Amino acid sequence: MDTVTREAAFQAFVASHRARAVSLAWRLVGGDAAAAEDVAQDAFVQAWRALPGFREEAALSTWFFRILVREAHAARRRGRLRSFWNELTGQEPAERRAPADGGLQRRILAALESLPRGQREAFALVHLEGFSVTEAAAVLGSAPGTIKSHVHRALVHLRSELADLAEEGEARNEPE
Amino acid sequence: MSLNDERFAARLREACPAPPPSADFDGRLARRRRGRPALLAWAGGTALAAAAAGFLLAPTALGPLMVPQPEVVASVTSAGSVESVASAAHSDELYAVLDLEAEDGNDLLPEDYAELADSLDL
Repeated sequence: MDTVTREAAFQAFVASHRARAVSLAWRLVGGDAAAAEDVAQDAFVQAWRALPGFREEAALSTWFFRILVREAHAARRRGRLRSFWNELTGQEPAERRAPADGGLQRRILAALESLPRGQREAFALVHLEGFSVTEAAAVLGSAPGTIKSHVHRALVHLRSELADLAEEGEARNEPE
Repeated sequence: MSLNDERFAARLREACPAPPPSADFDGRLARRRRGRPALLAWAGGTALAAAAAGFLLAPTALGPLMVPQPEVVASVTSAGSVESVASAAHSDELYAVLDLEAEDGNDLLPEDYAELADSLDL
């Protein structure tokens, strides 16, 4: 792949995946916009390096989101270490760029945060970002049945944590 | 999945929309793709220099352990954003070295320390 072709292919890849990448990262890092951008950027940089080895865009896409999920997990881990260090040294925690809507958004993000990692990632991919179960399974390196199970358990948990929203959704569904 | 589940998930998406990429997303990405030297030149070297100077190489039973000085950690953590060079170029290493919270048994191995030392030119 020559330089011009590689550059054009990468620009097209970024353009088609940028929004979804930031969105997924934002959900996986607990609503921190700055961290989400960093995660997405890191994943794109890795994709740039790997691009010559991929012949199919679909394969690169799956690989890219797998890297992004891994980077998001690493970012969460760094965040915990940062908090731990701040506690040790008695520093004020760095300002976290939380969503502007502190009420409902915060509750939803907190409920997502309370999920185990596998459930959170599967739910975010399938229900919040629109990946198919098959695509999510490829990204997360799990069997489709495992993804379905994670998603189901996540739904049960979230419906319990956010019962008012669940009831609201059901009320909309009732015939008048 | 039931219709109620789908409506519930749709309600979550509606109530909790993710932000779009920042206006400078592509510009930042281009700078990062150019690599560390370009990144450092772009953001200036002050924070990086402090971070690099603040690492001590301490021999331990596991191998060489780089220990960041507290004031360096303070400068990096207070930056709060990876717009900072120190954060972009060094926070991964910094927090990896500070891996005090072993998660999933992912303790750093001696070769990891060697790699970190290489990356920091120590």
